Amino acid sequence: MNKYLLLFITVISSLSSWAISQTYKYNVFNSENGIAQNYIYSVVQDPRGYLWVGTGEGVSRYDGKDIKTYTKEDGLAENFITSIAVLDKGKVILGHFEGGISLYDGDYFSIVDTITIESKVIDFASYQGKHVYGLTSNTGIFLYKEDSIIIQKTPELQGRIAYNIIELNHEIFVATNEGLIHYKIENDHSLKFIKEFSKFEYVSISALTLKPNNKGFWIGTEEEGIFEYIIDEEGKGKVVEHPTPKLIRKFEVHEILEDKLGNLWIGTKLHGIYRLEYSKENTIKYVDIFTEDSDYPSNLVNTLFEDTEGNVWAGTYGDGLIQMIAKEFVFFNLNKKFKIGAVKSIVQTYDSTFYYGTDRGLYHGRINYHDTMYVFQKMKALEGQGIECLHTKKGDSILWIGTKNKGLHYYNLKADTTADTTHYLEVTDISSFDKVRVITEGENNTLWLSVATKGVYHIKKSGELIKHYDTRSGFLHNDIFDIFKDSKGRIWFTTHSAGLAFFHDGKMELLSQKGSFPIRDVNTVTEDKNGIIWIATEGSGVYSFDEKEFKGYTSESGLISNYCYSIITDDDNNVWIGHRSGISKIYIEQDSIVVFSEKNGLETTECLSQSICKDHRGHIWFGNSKGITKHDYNVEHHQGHAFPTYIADILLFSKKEDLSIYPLVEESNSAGVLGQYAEFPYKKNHFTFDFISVSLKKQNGIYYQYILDGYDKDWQKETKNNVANYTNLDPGVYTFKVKSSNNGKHWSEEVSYNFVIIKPFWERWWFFAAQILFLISVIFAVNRYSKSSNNKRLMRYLTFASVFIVFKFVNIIIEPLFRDLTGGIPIVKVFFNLVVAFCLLPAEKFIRKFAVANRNI
Amino acid sequence: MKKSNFTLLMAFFIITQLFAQRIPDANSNIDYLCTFGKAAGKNWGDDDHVQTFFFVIPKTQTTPVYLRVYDPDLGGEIDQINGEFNSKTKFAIYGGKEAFTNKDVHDVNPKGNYKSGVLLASKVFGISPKHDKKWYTFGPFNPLEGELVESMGGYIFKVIAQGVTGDDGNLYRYFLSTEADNNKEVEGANAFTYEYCFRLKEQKNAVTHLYPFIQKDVISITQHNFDFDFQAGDRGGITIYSVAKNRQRGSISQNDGWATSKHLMTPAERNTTIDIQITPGKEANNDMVLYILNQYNKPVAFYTIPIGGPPKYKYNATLSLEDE
Repeated sequence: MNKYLLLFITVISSLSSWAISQTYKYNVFNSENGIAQNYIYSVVQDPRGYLWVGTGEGVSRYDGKDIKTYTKEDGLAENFITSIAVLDKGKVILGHFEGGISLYDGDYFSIVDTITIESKVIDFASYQGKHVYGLTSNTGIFLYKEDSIIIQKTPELQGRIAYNIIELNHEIFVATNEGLIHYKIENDHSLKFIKEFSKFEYVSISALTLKPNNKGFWIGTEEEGIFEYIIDEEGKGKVVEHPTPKLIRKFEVHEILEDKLGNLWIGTKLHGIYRLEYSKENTIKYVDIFTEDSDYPSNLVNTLFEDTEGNVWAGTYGDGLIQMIAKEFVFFNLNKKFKIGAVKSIVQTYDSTFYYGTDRGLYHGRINYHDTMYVFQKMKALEGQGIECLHTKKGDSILWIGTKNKGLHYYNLKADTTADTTHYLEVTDISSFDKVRVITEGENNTLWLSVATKGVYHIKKSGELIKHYDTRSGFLHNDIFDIFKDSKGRIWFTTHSAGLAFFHDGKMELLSQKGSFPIRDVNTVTEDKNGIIWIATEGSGVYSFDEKEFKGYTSESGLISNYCYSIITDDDNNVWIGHRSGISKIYIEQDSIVVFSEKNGLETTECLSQSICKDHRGHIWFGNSKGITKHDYNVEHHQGHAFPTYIADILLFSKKEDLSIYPLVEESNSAGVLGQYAEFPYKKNHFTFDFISVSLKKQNGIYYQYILDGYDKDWQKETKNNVANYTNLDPGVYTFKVKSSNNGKHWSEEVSYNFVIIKPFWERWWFFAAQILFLISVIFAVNRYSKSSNNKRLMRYLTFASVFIVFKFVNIIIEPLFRDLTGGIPIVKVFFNLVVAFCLLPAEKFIRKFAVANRNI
Repeated sequence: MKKSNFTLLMAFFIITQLFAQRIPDANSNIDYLCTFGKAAGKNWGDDDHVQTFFFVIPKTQTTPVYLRVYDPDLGGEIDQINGEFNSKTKFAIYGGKEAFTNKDVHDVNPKGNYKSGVLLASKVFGISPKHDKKWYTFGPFNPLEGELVESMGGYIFKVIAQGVTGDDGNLYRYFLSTEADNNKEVEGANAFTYEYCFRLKEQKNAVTHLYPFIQKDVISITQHNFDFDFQAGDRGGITIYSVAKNRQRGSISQNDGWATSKHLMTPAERNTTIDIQITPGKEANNDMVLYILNQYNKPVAFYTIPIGGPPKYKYNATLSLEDE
């Protein structure tokens, strides 16, 4: 552990404080739970979402739920996979330790080559989507093109160990243990040596990573720190040094990843991972450290990868694959440490320190640069006192404190830290025993205060009273739960029983009392970026007000509860609401609501009234009865995101078959051509559809809906089961459709599979016709050549047989249509058969008349 | 090397519970290996400026291994200066196919494709105070990256130290470890070489031990030593100690010269380890080279940890009763 960090923690520990880290959840995949081996050489994700993991004993494919491992037995050239790349059309190319190359075409593995390359294939660089430049550890570069391997002339790489290859603007860059080499791709795809970067002569370049915008790349070295290759406006590239923190500089950089949010992840060979977060000015703002000292599973980082959902995967050397999921919610249990019963107010001051007003006094918390430690410390000031509210103006150094029974205090953040004392502010008519419930910033350096049972005070910060509002002077209530100043300068007041009001231009607008706003018990108010006012009520949900109308959101709309105690908007202009049973989030644009409770990761709920804060990094903090819950803004929350769905497998009689052997036919109906359908014989009428929508974060949270057109009347109810079985299907035309969602609201596009089950020959119309013709022929033959009584019976029998065949034929044709109308109810079916029989009666009579006419019956 | 012999070798590995892998081993009484720069004269004690060691890691090893080098730089107190320090040494680690099984590897001279296999890591050291008298760690290595040689019972990594420039002598040690920052032995591992280039201990009467393993089919060996720096009147020398030899003398070389002597191997000595004991002469900072060939002129491997343990001479006592 860093010795200064250890010293810091030791000192802090002695000052009745508490430090906590780990805002990431780690899922470890190793040989014990399915991954082929614990040495991870490569991690990629294909367009379907499958994660491919190359190890020393096979390649594993993860779909978010199951892991499947493939080895030489499945067609790989070798079991030792050292590099993987995704090609166009979802193909995957794999490089092996002894120079073998394998290809996965979506269904099967095949060996491309095992002879040409004599060295470890260590990396790939895709070019124009179709071709791939492969880098070997010791013998240079090859080109994979149209299923063949072409060795490139790269004598510069002889004698070196190569680590990485990237392609940028038709140029190839290779990282080696003795420098960085630059090639140009010629028209025929051969490589032309351009130069060795003199800056890196004899420097071991251990990592090379393209930047997300393809405007350059990152360069990691063994002992020289990190550099950037930047392409300027004229299209020229240059190398600049990146301000690597000293902490990291001495470590060998093995991997660099720039994630979607612009954070830089640095994987070191022996010392874990460092995540650098940047400010808008592109300076390093925070460093998160992931090492074994901070309970991270491994220090040996071999590869880093970010999947489409924003999770970062670390492939380690001997400790498996680690999925790093930023915890969306982190709970800090202050009750456990400090015996706090309620965190009633949270503010972050100009110096990024947090202050917490609790039922047992004041606390402050700080996140330290260099690490993920949140350090909470009890303050001596107002020790043991109940704190109702805190307020500070942005950039100001004064913290205003409303107490439970000690009146109004203030704390000078610059001057008072050593003495750790607050100052009581004397205000006319506010005693030192009063409960100051709310403090809000007013215009011109003033404050609005809500004092329990005494109404509202508008004061100057010196303590001078400007005006006092209570029911004696016609004010709406003496107990104001919240005071909020909006962007238009209106001062909003919330009450229980007297509802909502605002004060503007000297006038009071009593919205509830006038009936403009329907709710009488209102807790708190906030405003979003568009100027819309959001109102949290006690028992009636949340309302928005756009100056024209109030729009309500309740538990029926999706809120976790109608009792809403705190409300705030985040940097994406979504609305967060704190309840006792959890947290709701309203996506204003999508007009959808997502809820969080203990069921889906929220450790402790019971949000308290107005105990909510948004910090400088955009995180939302909720105060509750046991401590604080932080929502991490950087965690991309994909609740509203639908994942593509795939039909992974189609089985016949529960067995996998090669479906390409079944012909494709064009089906059409009265509306026109329907498309291509796979044609199956009548015996192949037992289908199992395996489908999947890959989510590596929350595979068990994916819902599916499917329908078999031609069989099901409607879509099946949404299910988490990803298998559909259909047995004993009748001959006919079918389309299987399936779609998925990760929240039951936003569904992916449907994918479908068309097929037709052809009728057996004896159900074909021509067979029936042949039967009838045959019988008629027999009737005539018997009639002509026999006049005995036996023939009469035979005649009658054959007559009825032919009528029966006709009846059966008609039945088969019409019955499915009738079933669709009647639902296959047996009595209706019997009735239908009688109808057909009556219809065929004239035919039977005709035949008998014919026979009588011929004197045979 | 024949397969059948290695099965027995494997058995010995298991029996003796080998814990490598400090090279040179403390029991050998050798402080440092040495490799001189390419431009150094042979009279300094290095005949070819290349030293190759092999590390065998058992198949049971699943966690990563590290190869640590002590004092890899050229400079400071330990290394041998020649004029001024101006040399560079390259340490390279090989694994994979033919790292060990390539025929050119089984030779005392670095020729042909002796650098066979997959080059896994390498570094060139010159004057580097931050590495002086400190451990430098290569790795981590996945044991599977070595060459699997079933007859040896594990994966083999080859380490080549080569003097690339200059004329100074680099003195260093190796340690095969399971930890990057500490020397922690790999259970069941061992190390061997075909040609030792090392610095003799300077203490009077100090005895250096080298432990070649004599295969079953070896009936004689020739020991070759270079630059022992024997001078008239020196008490130093080379002797062979085994189950059947009680310090049989071997020839010793003079400065910048070779000496060779042939020694028959009795049946009792076959399939055992013998002890080549070297007592230094008067010369200080004496570096030398030693290797052994069998009757087929194939090199015999020196193991860091003697297979079957160091030999003990078996005395033959004959009792007879005299008639009174």
